[in-house]
Amino acid sequence: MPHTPRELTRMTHLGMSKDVLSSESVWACTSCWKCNSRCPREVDFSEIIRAFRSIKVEEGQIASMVQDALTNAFRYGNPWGGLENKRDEWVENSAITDVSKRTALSSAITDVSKEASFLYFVGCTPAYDVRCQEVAKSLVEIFNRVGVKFEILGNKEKCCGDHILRLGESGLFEMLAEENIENFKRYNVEQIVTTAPHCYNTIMKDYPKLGGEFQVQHFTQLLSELIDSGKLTFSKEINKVATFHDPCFLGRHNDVYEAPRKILESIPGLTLVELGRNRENSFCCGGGAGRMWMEETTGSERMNVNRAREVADLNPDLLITACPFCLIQLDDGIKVLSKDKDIQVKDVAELVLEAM
Amino acid sequence: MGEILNIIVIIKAVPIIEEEVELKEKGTDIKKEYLKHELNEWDNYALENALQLTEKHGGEVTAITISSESRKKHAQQVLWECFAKGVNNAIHVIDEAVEEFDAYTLVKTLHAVIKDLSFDLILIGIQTSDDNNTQTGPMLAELLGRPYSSIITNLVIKEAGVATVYQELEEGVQRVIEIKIPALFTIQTNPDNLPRYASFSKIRRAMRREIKTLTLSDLNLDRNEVLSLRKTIVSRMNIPVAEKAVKIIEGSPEESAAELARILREVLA
Repeated sequence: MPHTPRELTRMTHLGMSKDVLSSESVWACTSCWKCNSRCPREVDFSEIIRAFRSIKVEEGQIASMVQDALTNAFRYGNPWGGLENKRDEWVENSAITDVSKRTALSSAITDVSKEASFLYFVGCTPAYDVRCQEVAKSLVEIFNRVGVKFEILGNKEKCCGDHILRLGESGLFEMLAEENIENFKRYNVEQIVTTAPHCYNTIMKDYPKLGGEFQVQHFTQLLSELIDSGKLTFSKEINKVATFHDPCFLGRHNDVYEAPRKILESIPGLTLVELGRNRENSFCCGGGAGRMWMEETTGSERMNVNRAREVADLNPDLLITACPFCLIQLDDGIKVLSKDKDIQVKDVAELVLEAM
Repeated sequence: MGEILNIIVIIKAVPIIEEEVELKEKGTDIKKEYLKHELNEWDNYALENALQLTEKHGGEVTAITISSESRKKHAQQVLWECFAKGVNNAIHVIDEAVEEFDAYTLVKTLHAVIKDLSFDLILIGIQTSDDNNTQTGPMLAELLGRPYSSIITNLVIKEAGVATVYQELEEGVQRVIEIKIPALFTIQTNPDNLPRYASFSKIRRAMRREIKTLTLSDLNLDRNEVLSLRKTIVSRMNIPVAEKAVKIIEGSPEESAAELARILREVLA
C-alpha cells in the first residue's frame, strides 16, 4: 500500500490534497476497522476514506469497474447487474410469502407485523450469486422448520446501499435506502433479519439518519436466540473440526463475536478451533467497502489469500463464516492455495441446516 | 493554445437489450419505449473528449439529441447525465416521426439544428449500438461542408485553427492527422481515456437545468416532406430463432473428453 492511514492524515493536514486524492490507498480500504480499533484517539479513519472517495465520485474520476457497480445499483437496484425481475428467482420454496406479490393479489394483507414476526432482508449477493443463494435457501429452510413466520420483499427489495455508501456515492445510497425505507413502512415492518452483516450494519446505523428506524438483527443473532429458547434443535452430528472467520461488519463494526460461535458450539460433534487472528483481531477477507468490485491493488498479497494461508496452516475441515462477501472471497482464497479438497468453506446457516 | 472552443456533441439514448425483445406490430423495429436506455457508448467517449478540450481551452459544450415523443424521457435522462458531466447547453428535437427516420433524415434534421450555430468542433460516436449505421457523422459533415475524419481515439489543439487527431487503423496502427477546424470527427472508444462518472447528486441537480426543445416545424421542416427524403426504408426485422440446444456433457474429465472426441469425430466425418 503506497500510503498508510497515518501518512494520508498527515498529507491532508499539510494540504497535499492532490497527492491524497490520487493515492491508491484511497481505494484500497475495505472499511475493516482494524485501524479504527487500534487508534488511541478513536479516529474513524474509514469515514475519512469515504470523504476522499466522495470527492473522487463527484469529480467523476473513478475506475470503470466501480462505475459499473454504481451504474448497476442505480439501474437495477443491485451492484451485480442482475435484472430486477429476477431478484427472487432463487425462491423455490413456496412456503415463502412475498409481501409485494401477495399485496398485488390481495389488498387485505399488507401488514408484516401482523402476518409474520420479521422481514427477511435477503440482500443482493444471496439473491443473485449462485453460491450465496445456497445460504439464503438454507436460512429459509431453517425458518420454516423452526416455524418462525417471515416475509420477504421479493423483487421490491433494493440494495441496502452499504457498499455504495462506502464507495463514496452517498446520493445513490440515499436513493436506494429511501426506497427500502418506504417499502418497510408500507408493509409495517418492525423487525428485520439480514443474511449479510453489511445490510445489518447499514440498516441499523445509516437508515435512521434518513428517517428509517427499525429493529434489525443479523441472522446469527436470531439463530442464537432460537437455540436459547429451545426452538432450534439439532438432530445430526457433524464430526468435523471447524474454524470461524469473523466478518468485519459483524465483529469489529458491531461487536457480534459470540452469537456465531455459540451456534457452532451447539452443533453436536463439531469441534471449534480459533484462528490466530480472531474476534477484534480478525483479518478482513478483502471484500468490504466496494472492494468486491475492484481490481487488486499493486504490491502486496491479496487479502483473501493471506487469510486463506492462515486457515490452511490451521488445517480445519471447515472454514465457517457468516457473510456472503467473506464466503466468496475465502472460497476463492482457499482455491488459489489448492486447498479446496481439504477445507470446505461454508456459511453458518448451511452448517446449521445440515445438523438439524 | 489558448483558443476558446465551442463544441457540439451529438448524442443518442440507446435501448439496453437485457432479455428477449419484441417486435412492433409492423415488424420493422423492436419495441423500444419500455426498455431501459443509456447514453450510446461511443457518444459517451465523444462527450468525454469534448469536456476535456473545453476544460483545457475554455469554451462551451452543447449536446444535441433527437428523439420521438414516445421515447422523450429516455432522451431527457441522457441529456441530464450530460449536464451532470459538465455540458453547458442541451438541445432536444422531438417528433414522433423520428421513429420512422433513417440515417439521412436524421442528418437532415441535425443539419437544420446546427447550420446556424457557431462551432469549432462537432464530435459524435462512430456508431450507435442500436442501429449500427455509422452514417450520421460523415453525412452530417458533408451537408455542413466541413472537413471530417473518422475513428478518432484522441484529439488535441496544438495551434489555433488546427486539430491534431489520432485515428485508429487496422492492426493497432495509429495515424496522426492535422485538420483545419471547424471540423467533424467520429469518436472511437479509448480504454486509456474512460468517460467520467456522473454522480447521483449531480444528475439530480442537472434535472433542474433547462433543455431547449425544438419541433420539426420550429426547424421549418415538414414531417411528411422529411419522411419522403428517406434513402432507406426498413422492410422487415427478424428475431433470430434458436434452433439448436446446448448439449452438456456430463461425467469425469476423462469420460467427458472421450465423449467430446466421439461427437467431434461424428460431426467432422
